[in-house]
Amino acid sequence: MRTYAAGTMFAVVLGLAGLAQAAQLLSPPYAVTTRGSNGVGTKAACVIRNTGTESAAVKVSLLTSVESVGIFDFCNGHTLGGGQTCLVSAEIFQDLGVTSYVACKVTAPNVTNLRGTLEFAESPSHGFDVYLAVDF
Amino acid sequence: MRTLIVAMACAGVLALSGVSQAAQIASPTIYGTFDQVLAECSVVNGGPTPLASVTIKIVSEFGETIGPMNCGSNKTLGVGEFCSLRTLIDNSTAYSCVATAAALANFRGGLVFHEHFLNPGGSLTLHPIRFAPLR
Repeated sequence: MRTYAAGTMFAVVLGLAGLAQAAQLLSPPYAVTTRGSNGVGTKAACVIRNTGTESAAVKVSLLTSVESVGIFDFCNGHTLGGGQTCLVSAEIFQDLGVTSYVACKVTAPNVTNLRGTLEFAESPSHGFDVYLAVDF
Repeated sequence: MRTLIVAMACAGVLALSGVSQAAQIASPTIYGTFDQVLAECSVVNGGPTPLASVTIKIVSEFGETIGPMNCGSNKTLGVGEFCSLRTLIDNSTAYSCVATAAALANFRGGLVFHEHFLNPGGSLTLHPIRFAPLR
């Protein structure tokens, strides 16, 4: 009986340790509609800022319901220093008249000091115009 | 010791039963402009496991309800999957969105209003005019 109780407690501790390993920051999803005819599409960018003072290893990805092709990735494989900002962007491919869905997912050991913005701009771009942004 | 084990088992069962019930996230009630024509409320499962009991509904400021709509297969949304409810809306009414799921930790939603936009080529597309997250 004592062995069983010890095993149960061990399992509980392991479970809690698993929960504490990685935290996640997740944006709301956005329904991307066709911007226009003549090949006007949408670029999505996930911009992450570390508002803390300590560096953080972040893993940033754009979740999409359709095919996308990466443009920039300044987040994955790098350490995001305190006060620094990184960006992951992609071209969202969609058929005319079809809605696609995009969200941004960030995992890090601790996300308390991370802030994100999911931005959408037309492609080809008009300068750096953002037609919709979602903070998370 | 036996009492302790029984108590721990009861606590575990209670915790699991709590998880299996549907919780909800909701947007504020928002209004866009007189040009608003379409609302779309979308949700995503950003977690590592499928999510059960996922539904979406849109509610007008006057209490009219569109939905609820069940998401995925048997109300279960797969890993990384999206689901949305899209409806034409009145141009002088405010709306909110309510979504349910068995767990909320990795569940997010957003409500967007669109207006029609006439492209230079003459085609009609939808452009967003207002967005609100569900929380």
